[in-house]
Amino acid sequence: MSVREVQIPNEKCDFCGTCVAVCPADAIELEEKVIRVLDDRCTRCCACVHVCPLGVPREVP
Amino acid sequence: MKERYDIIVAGAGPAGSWTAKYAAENGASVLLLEKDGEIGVPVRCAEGVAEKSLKDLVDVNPRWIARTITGGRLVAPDGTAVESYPDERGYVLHRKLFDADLAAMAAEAGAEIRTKAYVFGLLFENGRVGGVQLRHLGHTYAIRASIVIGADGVESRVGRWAGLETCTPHREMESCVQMTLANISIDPDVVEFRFGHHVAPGGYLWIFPKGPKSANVGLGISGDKASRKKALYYLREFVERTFPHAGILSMVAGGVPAGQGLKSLTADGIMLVGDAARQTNPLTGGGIINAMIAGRIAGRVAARAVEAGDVSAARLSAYDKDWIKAEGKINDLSYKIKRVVYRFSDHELNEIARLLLKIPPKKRSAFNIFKTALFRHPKLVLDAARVFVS
Repeated sequence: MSVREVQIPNEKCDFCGTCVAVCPADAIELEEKVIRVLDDRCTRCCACVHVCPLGVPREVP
Repeated sequence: MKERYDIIVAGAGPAGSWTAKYAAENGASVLLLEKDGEIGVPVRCAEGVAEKSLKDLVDVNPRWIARTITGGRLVAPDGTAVESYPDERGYVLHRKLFDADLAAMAAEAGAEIRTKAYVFGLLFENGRVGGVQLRHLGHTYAIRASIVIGADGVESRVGRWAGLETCTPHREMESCVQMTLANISIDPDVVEFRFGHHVAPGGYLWIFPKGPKSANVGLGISGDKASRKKALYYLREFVERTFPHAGILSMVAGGVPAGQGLKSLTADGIMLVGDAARQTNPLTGGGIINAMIAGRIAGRVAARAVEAGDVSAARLSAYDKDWIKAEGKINDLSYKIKRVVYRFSDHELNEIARLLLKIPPKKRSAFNIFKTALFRHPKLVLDAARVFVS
């Protein structure tokens, strides 16, 4: 399955930053209670999807 | 806030506050920035520390202590429980109070502090780090500094912006979730650790008492075992099975770096401390004491570098060297032990628990436990002996 986009819905997120730490492309930004994926940097490796303790990031095919 | 400081510290957890305190005490002008609105909140931590280690670092205020811990219990997958009575006591802290007091001590030493202050980039002068870009209450600021210190936690980006490699591969990240539970039946003087592939694959579950009938109950699972079943679901299953009448007072997610140490904690005009520097112990996940030890070293090195007018990587690498001597070596060994321990099958863990039961309870020291667990890995036992003896 090819992934077109990775999304992190803010309403489900606890803003712990674990995804930021494993992102090899520095493509996730966390500012207090806002998290966003920088789509132009994201390589769709989905390390964030694997590691999230709550299962928040999602792969959009 | 001024336009320029000697040292800017991004992040006001134990690493950042302790760095700021020691930098300010050694004569530097220091700005300490916290992205969240309140220092110490949210608490993403099991809150356990060893008494002696903490006392070596700071005069302990009794109001920080939720429980004093006198024993430990390791529970194997089949339920075999091994009690151990270490020489050393432990504390379960109130991190909210603890962190706020550490930051207050940094302020007393002369550091300026701002909350809701998010560092979103670095300033560069002649190709080297020369300050931070800051967002604070809707305004952006460019604040210059001779040294920027990233104490910005597991989610640190300060190091990456300066060219330091800090990305933790997901297989070396512990994916964690914790609930603070009330109305549960526990042994309030004992910390409990549970192991097994159905409980916490590639990690462990902890029960750290906060009161007679309340505790931090959480678990970490290895990032490469976290794709399908998430840490949250392992914890929910455990809590429903073990503490069906629990009141859930809080729930937090978090990541604990459990990989090898970083190649470098410093570059020209930049240093990293605490979780940002991946200084948590890779075996236990403990980070508070290491963060403070690193902060004490980093703050002193940074202030003296500013005073000498030399903030080059060569000068700041004194911190790298002192960190390796202080705790880095122990972390390296812990990483090797972790790689063995977290690959044990449930059957092997059960066997080890039965072997441990043959050691008299008073002699179940950390070293004897490792020795028993690693009896098929004599080189690791030798490595451990060197560290425990030195």
